Amino acid sequence: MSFWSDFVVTNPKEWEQKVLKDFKTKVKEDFIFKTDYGNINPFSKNVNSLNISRNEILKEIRWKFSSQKNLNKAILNRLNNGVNSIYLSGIKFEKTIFKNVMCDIINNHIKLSPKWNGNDLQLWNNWGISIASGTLRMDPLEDMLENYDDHQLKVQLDSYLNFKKTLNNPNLNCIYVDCTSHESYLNNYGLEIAVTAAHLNEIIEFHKSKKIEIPPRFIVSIAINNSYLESVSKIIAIRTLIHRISNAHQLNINIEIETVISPEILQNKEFDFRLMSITSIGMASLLGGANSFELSDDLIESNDEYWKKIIVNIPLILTEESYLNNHMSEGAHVIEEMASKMAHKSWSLFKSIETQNGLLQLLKTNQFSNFIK
Amino acid sequence: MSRKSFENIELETVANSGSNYGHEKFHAGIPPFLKGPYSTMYLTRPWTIRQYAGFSTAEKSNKFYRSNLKAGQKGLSVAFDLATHRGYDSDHPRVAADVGKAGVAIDTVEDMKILFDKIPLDKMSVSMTMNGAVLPIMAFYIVAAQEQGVSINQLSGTIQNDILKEFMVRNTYIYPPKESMRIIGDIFKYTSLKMPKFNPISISGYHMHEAGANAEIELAYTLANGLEYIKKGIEVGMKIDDFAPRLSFFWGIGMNHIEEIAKMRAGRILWAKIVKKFNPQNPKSMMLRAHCQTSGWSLSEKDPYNNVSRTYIEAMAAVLGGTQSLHTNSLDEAIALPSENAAKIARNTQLFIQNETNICNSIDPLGGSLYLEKLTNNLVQKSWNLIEEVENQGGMIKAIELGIPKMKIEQAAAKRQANIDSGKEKIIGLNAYLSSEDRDIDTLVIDNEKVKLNQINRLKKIKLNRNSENVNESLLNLTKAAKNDTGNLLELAVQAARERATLGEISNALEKEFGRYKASIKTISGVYSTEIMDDKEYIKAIGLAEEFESIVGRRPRIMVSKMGQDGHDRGAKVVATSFADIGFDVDIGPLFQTPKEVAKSAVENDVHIIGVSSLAAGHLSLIPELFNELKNLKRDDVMVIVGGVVPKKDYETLFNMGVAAVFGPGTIISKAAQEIIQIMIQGLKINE
Repeated sequence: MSFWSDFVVTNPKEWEQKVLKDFKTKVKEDFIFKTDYGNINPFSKNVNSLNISRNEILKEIRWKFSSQKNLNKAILNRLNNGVNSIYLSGIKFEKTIFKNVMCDIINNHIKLSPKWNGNDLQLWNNWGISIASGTLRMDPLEDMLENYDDHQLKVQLDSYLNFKKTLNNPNLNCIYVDCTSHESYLNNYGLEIAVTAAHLNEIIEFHKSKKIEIPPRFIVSIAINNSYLESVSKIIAIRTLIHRISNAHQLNINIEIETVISPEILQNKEFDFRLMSITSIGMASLLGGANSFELSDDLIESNDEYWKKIIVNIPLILTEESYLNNHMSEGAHVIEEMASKMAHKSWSLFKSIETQNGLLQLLKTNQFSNFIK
Repeated sequence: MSRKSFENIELETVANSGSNYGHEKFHAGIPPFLKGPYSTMYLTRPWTIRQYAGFSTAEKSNKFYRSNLKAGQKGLSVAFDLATHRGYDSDHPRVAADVGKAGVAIDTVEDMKILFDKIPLDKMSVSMTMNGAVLPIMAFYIVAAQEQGVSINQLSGTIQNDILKEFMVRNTYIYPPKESMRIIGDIFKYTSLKMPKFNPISISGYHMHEAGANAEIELAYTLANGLEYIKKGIEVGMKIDDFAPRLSFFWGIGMNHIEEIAKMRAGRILWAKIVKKFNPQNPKSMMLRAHCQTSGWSLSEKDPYNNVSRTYIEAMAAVLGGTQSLHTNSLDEAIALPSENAAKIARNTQLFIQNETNICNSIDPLGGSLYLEKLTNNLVQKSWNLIEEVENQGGMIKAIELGIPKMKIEQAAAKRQANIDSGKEKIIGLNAYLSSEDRDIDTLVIDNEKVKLNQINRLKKIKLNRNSENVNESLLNLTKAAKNDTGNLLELAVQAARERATLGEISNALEKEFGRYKASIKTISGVYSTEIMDDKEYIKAIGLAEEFESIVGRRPRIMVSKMGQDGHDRGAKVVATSFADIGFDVDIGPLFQTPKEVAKSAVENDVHIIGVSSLAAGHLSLIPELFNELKNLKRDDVMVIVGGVVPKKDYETLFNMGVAAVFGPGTIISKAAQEIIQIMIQGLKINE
C-alpha cells in the first residue's frame, strides 16, 4: 500500500472543474494570466520544457562604476564589501585605477564605447596582458535601437573592427550584447527577447562578414524587473534562444547572462522599496540562472558608503544564507510554461526579424517601429 | 547559413516528466491539499496581511491598529505583554518589569474594549496570541464584542491556545499539561457551539522554529501536537467534523528558502493524512490552513537594514508555500520592540509582494520543481518517522513529560549555534563579509513605569465600581468547576469577565485547583563541542577556562538566569550547554525568577558570574534590582553579564550599573566565553 493510497489522485482537468464548481459565477478565462507571450493557465501542468541546462552558477557579484572620480578608492571599498567583480563603464584608462587591486583574483570587466577615439581604445587594449579573468567588451550596436543613424553605425562598426583586430589579450575577448535598455524600451517580454536575439545575431553576422574570429564567450546583459516568475522565465528563455542561434551557426560557445536592475525601479525613491526590488531581482537572477548580478551607485540616492555595503549584502545573503540556485527552478510548472511560451513567442518574432534581413535592416528602413507595434 | 534559414529551425523541447514520489499529482483545494488549501489560492484573494503587534497600553495599541488598517492591513494580530500571558494583573509584584513591554497590558474587559475601540469586531478578523491565560482573554474578547453590540456568532479570528508547544519551547504556560488540556477541550466545545467562524486554536511550529528546531522537527512536533488536540476533541465528545475544519496552524519561516516552501507543502499533505484516519466526512476537516511569521531569530543586530532583505526572502517563501496570512518582522526585531518606521517597512514588504511581483497570478508557483518535490518528499518521510516515534511513546503529552521534544530542539539549536560560531554556516555581517561601520537606528522605548501606573489606576477604579459579591461568586464557580471537572470553564470565565473580574483573579481562581506548573530544567551536553571541536576560538576558550581553574582552584562557575515573565529560553539554553562544553560549571536558574531569587540562588551556589538572558526589554528595570539584592547579600563581587535583545544605546547604562559585559544577538559564544574569563582573570590580577 502506498503512503498516499488514502487519497484519490485527481488530474488537472478535475481540478479545473472543482474550481469552476467553487466559483459558479466565474469562467475559466477569469483565472488565466494573460500576457504578451501567451496565456498562462494556472491549472495546467506543463508537459514540455525548454531543452536548456539548469545548472548555471552565479559566479560574479558585480559593481558597476561609471565615474572616474576617486575610482580606485571606490573599487577597493566595493571589493572590501564583498563584490568579486568590477565593471568599468565608459571609464578612460588611467594606471591609478588598479592600484592595490588584485586584478588576478577578481573579475575585471571594461566596457569600451565604439564612440571613443582610437587612442582611448588602444590604451585599454594594451592593458591587462597578465590578467587571468575578465573582459574587454564593446557592443558595436550601442544605442542603435533607440537612436539609429546610418553614419554613426558605420563609425561604430569600424571602431569595433579596429578594437577586435588590436586586442592584445585573447583571454579578455568576448562577444558582448548590451540589452539592458531593451526591457524598459520595448516593455514586452516576447519582443525584448526576440530583439536581444536579433541584436546578438547581427554581431555574429558582422564577425562572419568581416572574417573576425568569433570568441568562445558570449555575454548578454539584460535588465530584470519586479515581476518575479516572469523574470526567472525570461532568463531561461533568453539562454535558450542564444543557445539555439549559436548552434545554428555551429559555434561552440559559453553563454554568460548578466542581470542588472531595471531602471524602472529607480522611479521609486524609497530606500526600503529599492532593497525589496533588489532582493526580488536577485532571487529571480539566481533561480533563472544568471551568471552575474550587477549593482551600482545608481541604486541609492546618496553617496553613503554604508548603504552601498548594505546593497552588496543582498546577493551575499541570497547565496550564503538562502542557498538559492538555478537548478531549484527546474521542472516548476509555472516557470517552465512561462519560459516555454516566452521562448516560442520570441523565437517566432526573431525569425520574422531575420526573414526581413535582420535587426539593422529593420532599423535602417524605419520598419522597426512598425515591427514593435 | 543565411538569415532566412532560421525559418526552418525550431526550439528544442524535452518532456517535463517531473519527479515521482507519489504526492506530486495532488492539487489545491482537494485533499490532501498539496498546492494549497483553496482551489484558486491567490488568484481570487491574496493572503491576509496580519501584523502581530501590541505594546504599552490598550489606547496606544488601538491607535496603532487603526493606523495600520488604514494603511492596507487586513486583519489584526494582538500581542499581549508577558504579565497578561502568565495570568498576572499589572499590579502583581512579580511582573513589575514586564507590564506593557513586549505587548499590550490587558487586565480587564475594560482594557479589551479600549483595545478594539472603533474596530468593528463583527467585520474584523482578530488573531490573539494567548496560551496560558487563554480563558480570561477569550472571555474579555467575547464580552467586549457583546458590549460593542456584536453577536458572538459573528466573531472571526483565531486564538493561539496551543499549550503543548509552551511546555516544549515558549514556556508561557500557567497550569500543568493535563489541566491545560482540559481548558482546550472546553474552548473547543464552546466555540463549536457558539462561535462558528472562530478558530479555537493555532497549532504552532513558529516557536519551535525560533527555539532552534529544524524543518522536520518543527513539522513533526507541530502536527503531533495537532493530533493530540484532535484526540482531546474526540475525548470530550465532539465529532471530528465539528471542530477539525477550524483548527489552524502557524509556521515559522526562516532563510532556507526552498526548504521552507517544501515544509508548508509537506505539512498540508501530512495533516490531511493524519486527519483522514478519523474518517472525516467534511473535506475541510483535512485542510491545513496556516498563518506564517518570518523568523525573528534569523535577523541580525548588526546592520539591521540587511534584515529588510532577509524578511523579504522569508516572506516570499511563505507566499510561495501558500500561506493564508502572514506577519513580516521588523528590521529592528533583533534590537528592540518594533519602531513605527520599522513596522511600516515590514508591512510594506507584503504590499510589495502582493502588488509588484505578479506572484498572485499562479498557484503553487514552484510546484513541479524537481528540487522542491524532492525536499517535500524528504520532509514528509522524516517528519512522519518522528510523528510515529511520538505516537509510539504514547502521544505528545507523554513525550513532553519525558522531555524528548525539548531535548531534540535544544540539540538542534546547539548544533546550529556551533556551525555559526565555527563559520560553517555563514551569516552576512556577523561571521562573513563584516561591515566596518556600525549604524544606530531609532528604536521604540516603552515607559514601563507610566504604563504600569496607568494600568494600576484603572484596576483600582474597576474594583471600586463593580459588584464584589457577584465577582466573588463567579470566581468561586470557576474554582468549583475546576475542582469537580464540571461545567465549561470558558462559559464561566465569560460570566466572571462580565462582572469585571480581572485577568489575575480569573487565573488565580483556577490556579487554586490546578496549581502553577514549574518546569524541571535539564541541560544537554556534548552537542556544541562535537560540532566545533577544531575551531581555534573554541580551543582558545577551553585554554582560558583551564587557566582560570589553575589560578582559582576550581572551574569558572556561571549561573544562567532569566528574570521576569519572559520564557524564551533558546539563548539561555544554548549558552548553558556551550559554556559547559567549554569548561564552565553551569547552573541554570528556574524561569520567571525575581532579581531577589536570582541573587539568593547565585550566592547559595557560590557562582563567579550571573549571566542574565533578556529578550523582553526588562533589563533596565531588572538589572539594578539584581545589583541591589547582591549588595544586600554582601556579594556584589559576583560578576553580572547580560545577553539577548539589548539596544546598543542601553549598553552604557548597563555598564554604569556595573554590568561587566553585554552580548547582543549573534555573539560568537566561544569568543564571549574568552572575554568573560579574561575579565575575571584580569580582576584577580588587580586584586593581587
